Amino acid sequence: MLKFTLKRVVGLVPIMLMVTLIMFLLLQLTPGDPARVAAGADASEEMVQLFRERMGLDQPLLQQYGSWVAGLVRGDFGTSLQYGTPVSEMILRRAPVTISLTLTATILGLLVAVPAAMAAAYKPDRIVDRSTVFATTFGISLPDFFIGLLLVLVFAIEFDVLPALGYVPFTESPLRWSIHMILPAVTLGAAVAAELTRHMRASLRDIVGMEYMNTARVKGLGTVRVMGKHALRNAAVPVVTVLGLQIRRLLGGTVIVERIFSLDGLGSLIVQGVFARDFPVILGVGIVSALTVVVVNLAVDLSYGFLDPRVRVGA
Amino acid sequence: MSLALVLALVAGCGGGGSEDEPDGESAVAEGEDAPDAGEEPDAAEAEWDESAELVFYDSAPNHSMDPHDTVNDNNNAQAAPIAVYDRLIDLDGGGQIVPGLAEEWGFTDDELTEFELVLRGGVTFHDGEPLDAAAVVANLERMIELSEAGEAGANVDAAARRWASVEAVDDMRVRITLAEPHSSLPYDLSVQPGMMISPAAIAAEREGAELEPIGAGPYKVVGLTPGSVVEMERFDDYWGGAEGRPATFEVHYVPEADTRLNAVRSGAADVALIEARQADEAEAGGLEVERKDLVGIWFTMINSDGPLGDPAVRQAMMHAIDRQAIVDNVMFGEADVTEQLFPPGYPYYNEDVAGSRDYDPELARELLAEAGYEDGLTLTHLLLNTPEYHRLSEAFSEMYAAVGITLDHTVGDVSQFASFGAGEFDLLTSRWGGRPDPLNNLGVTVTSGGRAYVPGGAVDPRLDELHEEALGLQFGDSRHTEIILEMGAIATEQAALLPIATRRNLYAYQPGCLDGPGDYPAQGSDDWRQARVPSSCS
Repeated sequence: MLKFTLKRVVGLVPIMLMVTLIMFLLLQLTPGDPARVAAGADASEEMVQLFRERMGLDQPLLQQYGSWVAGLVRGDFGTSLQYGTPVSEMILRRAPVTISLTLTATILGLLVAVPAAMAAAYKPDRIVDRSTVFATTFGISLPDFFIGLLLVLVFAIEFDVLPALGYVPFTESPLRWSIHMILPAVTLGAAVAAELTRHMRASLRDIVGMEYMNTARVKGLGTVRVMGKHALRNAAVPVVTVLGLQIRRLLGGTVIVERIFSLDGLGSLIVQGVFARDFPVILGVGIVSALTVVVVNLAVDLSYGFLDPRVRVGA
Repeated sequence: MSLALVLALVAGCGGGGSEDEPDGESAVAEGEDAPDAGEEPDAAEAEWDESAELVFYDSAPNHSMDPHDTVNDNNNAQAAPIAVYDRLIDLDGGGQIVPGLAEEWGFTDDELTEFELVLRGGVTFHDGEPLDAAAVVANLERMIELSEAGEAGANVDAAARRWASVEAVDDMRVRITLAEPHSSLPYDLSVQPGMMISPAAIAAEREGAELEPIGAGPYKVVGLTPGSVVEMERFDDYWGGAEGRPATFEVHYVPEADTRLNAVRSGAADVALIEARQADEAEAGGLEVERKDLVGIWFTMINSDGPLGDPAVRQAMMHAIDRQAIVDNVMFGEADVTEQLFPPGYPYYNEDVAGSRDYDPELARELLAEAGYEDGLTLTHLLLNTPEYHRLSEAFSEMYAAVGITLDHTVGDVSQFASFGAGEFDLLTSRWGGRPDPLNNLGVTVTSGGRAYVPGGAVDPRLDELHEEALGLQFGDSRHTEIILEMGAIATEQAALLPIATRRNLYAYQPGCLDGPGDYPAQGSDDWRQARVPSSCS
């Protein structure tokens, strides 16, 4: 298992290198001149040139890429063209917001999906099942910004029970943190919940029909025990795969959700970075996101071994 | 240097409000006061809630609170910098220069290269350091250094490049020697280059977001999250008096307009900048909407290298657009039409040419035919990728098409602005934040000296000549005013740019819970030093 893990971790290095190269080259293809943006629309050519030199944008591309990657290896993400502060500092300051948002959205998604899927799969094609399918269709098809604005109108403005926006660090007040996280997490988590419910329901349905499930029932086990112990663990493998894939959706969704709820996380940072052609910021947040996705997928792969002993043997 | 000469000149230019201004009414009678001090009668003391915590949601960020660095230039986020850094020379609501940290100023020679400022006594920065000549010189020298290093904002850069030397004449008197005549210097000192930082903060040699933001304005910074929020507290030792101001003032950057409005409706913010399309929704939701007209406008800039070099084509474009229809339908009625760089009512709006370029599609077609384009022509247009610009361009594209002008749009963002300056397009539509100095406004948008906005050079050589002449004239000289009006007339007559409508800031707040902000006739912002929260607000 350890050997398998190590092999997979080492395998990440070329993947990440490819990611850095593609991201760097893609940015070069975008129109717009970062030196011009940073110097301001009214800046003279002279000023723009000074900027270009100071930012190292006049260096050959390969050299720019090389020094950026060399910096990354040392943990140096470069300096924001817009703020003049180290990108790593900015990411560290904003990461807690995005982590809070994605984690709470995932947990919320699971909290909804597991019981909903179990209830739906237990008696297929009955009313509970049908309504679950109906509800998940909404969850998948409604865009984040619509759900978010609707929630704000109802819960923050009409009933005034939850804050419309903003973030309070967990370390400052766990209670206020959770109150502020509710609406954004529901907004971001709705699609996750819907997607997971559907996959889990499908997966459970296959299992519910299997003979060993009947055996368990015949043995006299209660519904919760049958579904929880025998069905859920076996249905988990495909679901964990889907959950792993959700990380991309979550990270992408933060861009919209952070904007609606005015949260200063990585999603809003990258948007600002794009508008200002702040290359180090875009690359920095991009690389962190890519690394997150890759690591989560690795964790998903490794979890198969835990969930299904047959994979462990195979490894 | 004779004091008499300085004072004589100051009398002519300092307090504004001379009879030479085109609009004597708007001139400043209360020029000797701080822009916001001493107006409230004693009985009104309890009128304002001094323990209030005013939270404002703005649509533009403060990447730093360094007034001299690149990001604090013509972006719209001036609310916090204006509140924190008082300027050497202030601006009143009518756009006239009035005393700020300097009480008197003027050129001391006829060549307009020696300029002196007499500072206000008893002013301290937020850290207790006194405002004296040494502090001002330290600020001016910092700007020169930043400019030389390419680290200054464009306004600071343009101003500092003209300063050949700066020196303290005595404790409270500063002399700036210019490399060449520049009568607009007082206006330079009424925006970013006039914002004074505490000498202690300058001595720490930190810049941008790292700068300790210590000014001499009515609010001091107590927290700064760059690109997100500036937290300020009332400065009780403010030279203009602290009475009536709220205890704290926070400016948040919230890019999403719906989020800003929702914040006010839910109570998270006291006031927010909203978009014209939201005004009805805000009012229907029980909020009050305050409308602040700006000096800036919406307009299309032209590149005269190409078909637009022909005045008839430009004039045809002026007559092709139905501005009132655009205002009514695209801008939700929240603007006034204008055919000039300045809005109607502004002292330098030229009444003589008002209405001379009205909507007249028939005339537009005739002019095009006269120019040899009876079969129509196609022009390239750089279109910025925000919904506001798209709605606007959809409207005027159809109007142009109706007279035979086809626009070939390239959608870009602000970072591509420069490609227009480089001559890659015929047209660029933009909003103009405005500059405090009317001459500078024209200089940047219709003369060959305008860097990014006049890629083909001035459409009429008289514009360059008049601009040059005005720069060598004393402020308040009647010829100076005449020139500005004349340049405006030529610009409209020659269609040097294609104005559409004026700009307006809309603020939504709970009824009875805000008084202000004041006018700031530059850079699309408003002056929050004046904002008060009535005690009756619950």
